[in-house]
Amino acid sequence: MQQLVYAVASKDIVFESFDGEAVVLDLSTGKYFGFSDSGSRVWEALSSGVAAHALVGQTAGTSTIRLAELESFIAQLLEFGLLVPAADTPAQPISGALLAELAGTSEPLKVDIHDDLADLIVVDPIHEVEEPRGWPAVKQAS
Amino acid sequence: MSGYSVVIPAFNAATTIAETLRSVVAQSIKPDDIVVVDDGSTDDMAAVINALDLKVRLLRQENAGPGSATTRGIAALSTPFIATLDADDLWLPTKIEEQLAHFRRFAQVAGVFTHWRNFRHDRPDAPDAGAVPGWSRSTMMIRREVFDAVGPIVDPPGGRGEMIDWIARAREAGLALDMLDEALTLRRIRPGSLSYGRDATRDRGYLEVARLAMQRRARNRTESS
Repeated sequence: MQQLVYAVASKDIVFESFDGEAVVLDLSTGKYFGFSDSGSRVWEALSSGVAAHALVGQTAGTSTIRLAELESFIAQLLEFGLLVPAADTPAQPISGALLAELAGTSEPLKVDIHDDLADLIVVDPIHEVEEPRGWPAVKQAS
Repeated sequence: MSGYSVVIPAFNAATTIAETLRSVVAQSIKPDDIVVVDDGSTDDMAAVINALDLKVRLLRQENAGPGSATTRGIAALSTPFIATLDADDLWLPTKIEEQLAHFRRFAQVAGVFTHWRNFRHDRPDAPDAGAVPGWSRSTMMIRREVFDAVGPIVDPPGGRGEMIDWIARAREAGLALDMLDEALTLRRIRPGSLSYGRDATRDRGYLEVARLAMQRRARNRTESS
């Protein structure tokens, strides 16, 4: 499996990196996911099409990423429905900037699932509501 | 005096505000005060409101977002209960009456929400449409002091989700928020709305709200350890 490239599982999975900290949200269930510092960088790599094997052996803090550790992390991402295998997709190169960030991490690979906002988020059937003419077209400071 | 007042944050809602306000004044228990907070509208909403000849206070602010406008409106009110409503949604006539009755029955309840169902902007209401729990501004009624305890409604940078954030903060403070099973609020859906277009700025707001929830949790862990 370490040869595999992965893709974000569906359009319901949205994510963003806040100062290197990844937050992933499943809009269909309202569950959201938080990561350790190294987990955030590995999510960023995998969700952008970097092959799993390109991450094995990379420096993460004071150690290197082991295959078994990465496999178990990816298994969780698959189980949570955040990623799917994308066998025929060409792998993307991992950027030097991301590798440098990964090297600067201090926590082991970890992803946590949270459902405390789920009932509040799923009540908003986003895809059924056309953009209102008013909000959320709030003027942005540009 | 009924003891409640209403806050309607509004941005360019000239086409819907009249119907929304009529659903407020049609309540079986009348509000003491109605405040519309114009969040920097560029349409003729103010003229529409004035032409209605209803007892409505119109406050104005520079465009800052629905959370900010709601907070501004609540700050201008002093009744024991406050109900909020989006400028395009509607209340059914007994909505407030049912909520006030719930508050009377359960003295410890901090806020009461209702189920809601969608209605199409261009079609009559369909009472058989599915109702869902409306954890939203348009169904919310709270005790005034709850707002002071939880604090302002904060608009996530560049996105929606301000009510999710506020309700989550209220829950984390241990406040009891109840949901009435009856659909007493109607949510307006615009024509041609089944386009499945994703709104990236709204998604970003939700992600920000999730991040804030995780940060609060981490902070609480640190404080309690």
